[in-house]
Amino acid sequence: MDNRLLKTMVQLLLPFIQLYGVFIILHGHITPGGGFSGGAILGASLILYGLTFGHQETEAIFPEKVSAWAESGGAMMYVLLGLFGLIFGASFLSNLTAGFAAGTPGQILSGGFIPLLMIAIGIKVGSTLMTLFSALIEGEPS
Amino acid sequence: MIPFSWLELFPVLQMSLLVLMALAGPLIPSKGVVKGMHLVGLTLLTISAFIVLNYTHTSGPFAFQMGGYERNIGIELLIDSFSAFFAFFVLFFVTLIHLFSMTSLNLDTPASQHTAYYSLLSLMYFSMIGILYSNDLFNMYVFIEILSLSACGIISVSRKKQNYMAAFRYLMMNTLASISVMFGIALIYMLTGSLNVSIMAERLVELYPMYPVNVSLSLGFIGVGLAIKSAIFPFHVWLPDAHSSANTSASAILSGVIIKIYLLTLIKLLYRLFTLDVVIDLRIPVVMVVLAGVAMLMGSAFALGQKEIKRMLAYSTVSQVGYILLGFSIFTWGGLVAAFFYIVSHAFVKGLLFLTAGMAKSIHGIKSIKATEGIGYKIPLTMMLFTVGAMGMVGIPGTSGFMAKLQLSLAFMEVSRGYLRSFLIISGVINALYFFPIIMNSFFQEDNKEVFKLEKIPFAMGFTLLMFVGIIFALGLFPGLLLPYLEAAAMSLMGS
Repeated sequence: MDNRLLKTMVQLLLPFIQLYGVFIILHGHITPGGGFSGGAILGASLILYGLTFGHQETEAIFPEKVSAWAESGGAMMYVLLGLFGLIFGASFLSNLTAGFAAGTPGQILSGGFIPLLMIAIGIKVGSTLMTLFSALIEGEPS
Repeated sequence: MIPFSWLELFPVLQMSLLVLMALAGPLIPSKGVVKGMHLVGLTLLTISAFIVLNYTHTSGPFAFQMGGYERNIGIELLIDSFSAFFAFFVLFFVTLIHLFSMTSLNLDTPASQHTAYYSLLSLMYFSMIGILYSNDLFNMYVFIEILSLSACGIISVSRKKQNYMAAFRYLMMNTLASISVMFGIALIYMLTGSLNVSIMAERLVELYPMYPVNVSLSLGFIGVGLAIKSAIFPFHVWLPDAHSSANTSASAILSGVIIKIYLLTLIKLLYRLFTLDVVIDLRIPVVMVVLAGVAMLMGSAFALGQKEIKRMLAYSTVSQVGYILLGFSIFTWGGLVAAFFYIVSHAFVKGLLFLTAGMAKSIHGIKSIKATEGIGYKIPLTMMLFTVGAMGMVGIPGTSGFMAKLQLSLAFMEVSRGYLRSFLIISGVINALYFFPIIMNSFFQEDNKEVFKLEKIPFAMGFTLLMFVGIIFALGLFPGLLLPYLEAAAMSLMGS
C-alpha cells in the first residue's frame, strides 16, 4: 500500500511536534510542563517517525548508540549538576546557594539551574521512550 | 553556610558514584573494563563506608540536607551508627560477591547481558544504601521501588524460561507490596503533614491517642508491604522461584542482603516512626511472634520437601527470616542486637551456601539433592565449603550461626520468655535434617567408585569463598569484633 499521504503529513508535522517538545522543555521553569512532558513529546515524535517510515529508517537517523549515549548522558548530567553544589560549598542539588544565576523571574533565563535540569530530563526521557519503542519492535532488547 | 567536616559529604558522594557507575556501564564497549570499574568503585565505596562508620562512632550521627531545604520539606539523609553500619555491611558483602561474579558470570549468564547486569546491580546497591541513609519516608519509598524493579531485572538476566516466570511473579507481588507501602505512607502523611521520619515521630506522640485507627491502618499497610518484600512466611510465595532461578552471584545477593534491607526498613520504621509505645499498644509484638514462629517452622518444613539444592536453600531463607523477625519482635535492646547479628551472620552463611551450590550447578551440572551422591570425591573443595555453610546454618559451635542463635536465646531469657527458644530448637533440628543428608550423601557413601581428586577453583571465586569462611568462623569465635558496632546501632534506634 502506498502511504505517501501519511508520510508527507508526518514529514510536515514532525518539525512542529519537535519544536513544541523543545519549547516545553526550555519553558519548563516558567510554564506548565517541563523536562518530562517535553521529553515525552520528543520521544513521541521519534516513535511517530518510526511507525511511519519503519525501523530501519529510524535507526539511520537516530542510531541505538546515540540513544544509549543520550540516555546515560542525560541522567549523568543531572547527577553532575547535583555534585556542582557540593563543589561550590553548598548541599547536593542546591540551586542559588551554589552560585547559579537567578536571572529575572518570568524570563526564560531564570530559575538558576532548573532549565539545565529540564534539558537533562528531556534528553533522558525522549531517548528512553525511543529505546523502549525499538525494544518492543525488535522483540529483544539490546 | 554551616561549616561541616568533609567526611559528611561521603554518603551523598557514595550514592552519586553508584549512579554514575550504573550509567557509565552501557557506554563502555569492553566488558573487562566494566567489571574492573565496578570492582574499583565498590572497593572505594567499602573503604569510604568504613570511614563513615568510624566517624559516626567517634563524633555521633549527622544529617545531610539535600538541596539545602529545611528538613520538613526537603530530603534528609540521616547517617548514624545504624545506617552507617549496615551501609558498610552491604557494600562489603557485595564487593566480595562482585569479585566472585567476575568469573562466575561467564558460566551462567549470556555474555550480552553482563553490562546490563552490572548496571542493574549498581542501581540496586544505590537504592539499598539510599533506603538505609534516607530519613524521608517518601524518598525511602522511591528507593524501595528502584530496588524492587532492578531486582526484577537481575532475576530475569539469565534469559531462561523459568527466569521470566520467576521475575514476573516477583514483579507482581512486589508491585502489590509497593502499593501497600505507598498507601500506608499516604495515610500517615495525611495525619502528620510531614514526610521526615523524625518530625513525624514527634507529631505522632500527640496524634496517636486522637487517631488510633489511622495510625494502626498505616502501620498495617506498611507492615504488610514490607512483609511481602522481605518474604515473611505467608507472603513468601515469590521467593523460592526468584532466588533459585537467578544466577549464582545474584542469588547470593538476593538472599544475603536484599530481603534484609526490607527487614531493616521495617525495624527502622517500627522503632523510629511509630515508636515503641504505639507498637506495643497495637499488639504488634504478638502478631510478629506468631508470624516469626510459623515462618521458622513452615519454612524449614517446606525446605525439607525440596528436591533441588537451590530451592531448598531458598526455603531455608524463608525460615531464617523468621529467626530475625523473632529477634526483634520482643522489642528489647538485646533482641535487636541479636537480630542484627543474625542478619550479618545469615548473609555470609547463606551467601556461602548459594555460591557453592551455584558452582556445583553451573560448573559441574549438579542440581538436585539426589545427584549429590558421592560428589564429595569429585568436587571435595566445593562440598567442604558447602559443609561449612551448612554448619553455620544449623548452628554448630564455632560458626557465626551458633553465636547468632546464642544471642537470640540470651535475649529471650532476659525478658523471661525462654519458651521462645523451643522455636529455635525445633527449627534448628529440621535445618540439620535437610542439610546433613546432602553432606552424608556426598562424603560418606559406602559403595563409592569415584577417585578422590581436588578440583580447581578459579582464584577470584576461591578468594571470595575463603573470605566468607573466614568471616563465618571469625564471627563465631570472636563475636566481640562485631558486637560494639551492632550495640551502637541498636542504641541509636532505641534511644530516639
